[in-house]
Amino acid sequence: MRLRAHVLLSLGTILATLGGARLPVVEWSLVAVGAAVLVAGGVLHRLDARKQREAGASSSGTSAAAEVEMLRAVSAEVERLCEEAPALSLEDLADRLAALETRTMGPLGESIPHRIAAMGGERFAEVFGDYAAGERLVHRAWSAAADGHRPEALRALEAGARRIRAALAALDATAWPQQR
Amino acid sequence: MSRHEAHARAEARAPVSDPSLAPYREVTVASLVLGILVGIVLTASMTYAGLLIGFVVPASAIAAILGWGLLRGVMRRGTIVENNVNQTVASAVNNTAAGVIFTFPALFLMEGVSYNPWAIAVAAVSGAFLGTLFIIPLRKQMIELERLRFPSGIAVAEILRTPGASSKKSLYLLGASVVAFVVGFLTNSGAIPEAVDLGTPLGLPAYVPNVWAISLLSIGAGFLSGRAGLVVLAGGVLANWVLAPLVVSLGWVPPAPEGVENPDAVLAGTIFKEMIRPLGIGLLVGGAVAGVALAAPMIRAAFASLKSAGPGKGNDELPIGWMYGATLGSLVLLFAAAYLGAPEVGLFRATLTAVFGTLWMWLAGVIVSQCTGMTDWSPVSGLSLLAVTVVLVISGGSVGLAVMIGAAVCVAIGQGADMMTDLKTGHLVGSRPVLQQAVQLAVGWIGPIVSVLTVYLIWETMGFGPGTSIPATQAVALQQTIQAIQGGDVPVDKYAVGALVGALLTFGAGGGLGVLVGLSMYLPIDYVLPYGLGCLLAMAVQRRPEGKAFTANVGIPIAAGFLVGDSLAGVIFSLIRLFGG
Repeated sequence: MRLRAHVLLSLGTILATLGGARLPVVEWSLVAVGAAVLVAGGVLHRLDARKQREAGASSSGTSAAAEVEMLRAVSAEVERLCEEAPALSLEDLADRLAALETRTMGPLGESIPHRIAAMGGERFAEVFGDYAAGERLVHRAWSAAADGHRPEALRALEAGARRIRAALAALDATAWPQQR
Repeated sequence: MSRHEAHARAEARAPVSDPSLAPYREVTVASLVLGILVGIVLTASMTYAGLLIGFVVPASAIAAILGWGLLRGVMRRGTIVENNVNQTVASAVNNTAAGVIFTFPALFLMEGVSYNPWAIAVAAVSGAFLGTLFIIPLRKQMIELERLRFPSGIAVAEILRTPGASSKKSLYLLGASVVAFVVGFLTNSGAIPEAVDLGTPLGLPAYVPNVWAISLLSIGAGFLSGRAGLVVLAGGVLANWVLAPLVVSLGWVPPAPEGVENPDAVLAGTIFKEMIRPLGIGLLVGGAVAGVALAAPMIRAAFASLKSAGPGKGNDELPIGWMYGATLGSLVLLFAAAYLGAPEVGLFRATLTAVFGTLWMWLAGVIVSQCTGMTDWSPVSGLSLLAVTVVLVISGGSVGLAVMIGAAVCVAIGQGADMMTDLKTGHLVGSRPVLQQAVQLAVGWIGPIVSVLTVYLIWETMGFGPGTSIPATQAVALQQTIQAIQGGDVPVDKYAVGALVGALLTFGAGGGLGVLVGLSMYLPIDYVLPYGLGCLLAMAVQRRPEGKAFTANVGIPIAAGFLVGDSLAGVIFSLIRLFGG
């Protein structure tokens, strides 16, 4: 269905813009046909997206579930790092934070925009707004560690952990029973 | 020096002898002064360069590199986030040059046009404030939720993080910067061609261009955009390789006048100016309006979180009241500039112009930020052109007023896109958004004044425009467009079709698709092709086992180096032209 949607969207764009390009006057009949094809492609695209969401909600091995697990893993790792950080050298702290940024937070960050449609804009903003703030604070902790400023590194890491915890709590409150 | 040694040194030269007693340096006098100085020098240079060679380059990367040299190297106490403030300030001052050189100099070239230079300066300064304030509620949506790439923002973050990063990553960044600098310098100086034409040897006509710019910057930006940027390639192909030959074969474009040397090139010019450009701008606008409608729940959530925000409370952003104040201030300032700068238009038209100008600054700011976020390119000139067109119509043909609003819009949307790019950098290094927003507001007014004064100085001392040594190509293009509009040549139907297609694409498939397709139709294919190559490279790398780690550790530093090196080459070349002739 997705392929058909993409073909229709491409074809509709070509037809409508071709009709619009005509000089000196626009070929409105071609624009109308193109617009109709675009609408059909858009409807198919949205149906496909809905189908995928429903399939995702009914299967425990879905990407949505995987992302919930990723968020749990990030939160757990940040909490662990918070506990261990005071005893780490600044170099080790920066290394651990860099690994957290690329290996654990990176893939989750990549997948975040795909959850917009699944969660609805407002709920999505509530959950991932907190997560993104936490992520920024982890970046700040890395910067401070790299700059040799231990107090700020620890402060930022703890603040980041709090925001990520809040995101996890908000996500847990989201009605996705199959994924827990 | 090993990493261990580097860290030991970092600990040893932390802000004061006992770091735990000192605050982490972020907004400091040093970062502000350095940023302002770099910004002013680059604004004057880029204003001249823009009149001379038709383009400007951003200051962020240069300021970040200078910041390391001065804040860290000389003063021995700069931090990563402090240097980020320095580059935020420098680019806030410098980026307004593009807005001024595209609009303001056109007035000098048009005889018999009355205008008030002070009103234009006020409008441009207010544009600088409003562009920053209007974009505040969109930071969460674009950077944190939609995760737009902002390739230049990533590149500058890579520079800022260099001292703490692994030595291999730093070497990749440095090596790629050197290579891109050499290539950029050679192309700028004409030692090697700027582009390779693969179409002519294949027998393709000029209106089906297959030209590849030798631009490592474009490849780097494409790599940093990844799969999302492929739509740009698709849009470029649609405009240049599908629509152009179809309209010619259908006979929908008037033939070139007889006797011209290269009729295909004339056709290519007609197709771009009269078909592709208005359709592309229409797509941008329609796609952006649809995108704002689709993103309404997220924007509402961002507004809700902003309501409790405020500096000094540990919050992320400036409070929402600032934006409401900016909206009101915009209406008042633009009305005053319109009514006092062009009293002949009357009260009603001045009010209408102020309302349109305010709305357009916001919408165009959204469009340009989205485009910059997704591709690193921004259609500032196209959107300003549309502003000039509409104001010419609603003001009853007042050129001075139209250019004034065009300048304000141009500066505002440039500021908005720059703010968003800097905030992306800030996100990656952990800066506080509220501080970045505050410093951008504090210094944004400097750039328009420096740029306007520089234009005056050049006009008084050397002159510019056709027949002089400074061609001012952007201003001449605007002058010609205004003259065409005055002759009744506004392709409203094409804008409308473009807007319809843009809106349907975005409503159907989301993801800012309409904006991206519109932007790519509007961009020169020379740069779209290497950009697409960069996107394909990123996709190929990520498909390999360990591809994501390779991208993070090798690909991104190299791509960022390409952006930095090429930009630096542009600046150095401009300065050589400026001082060396």
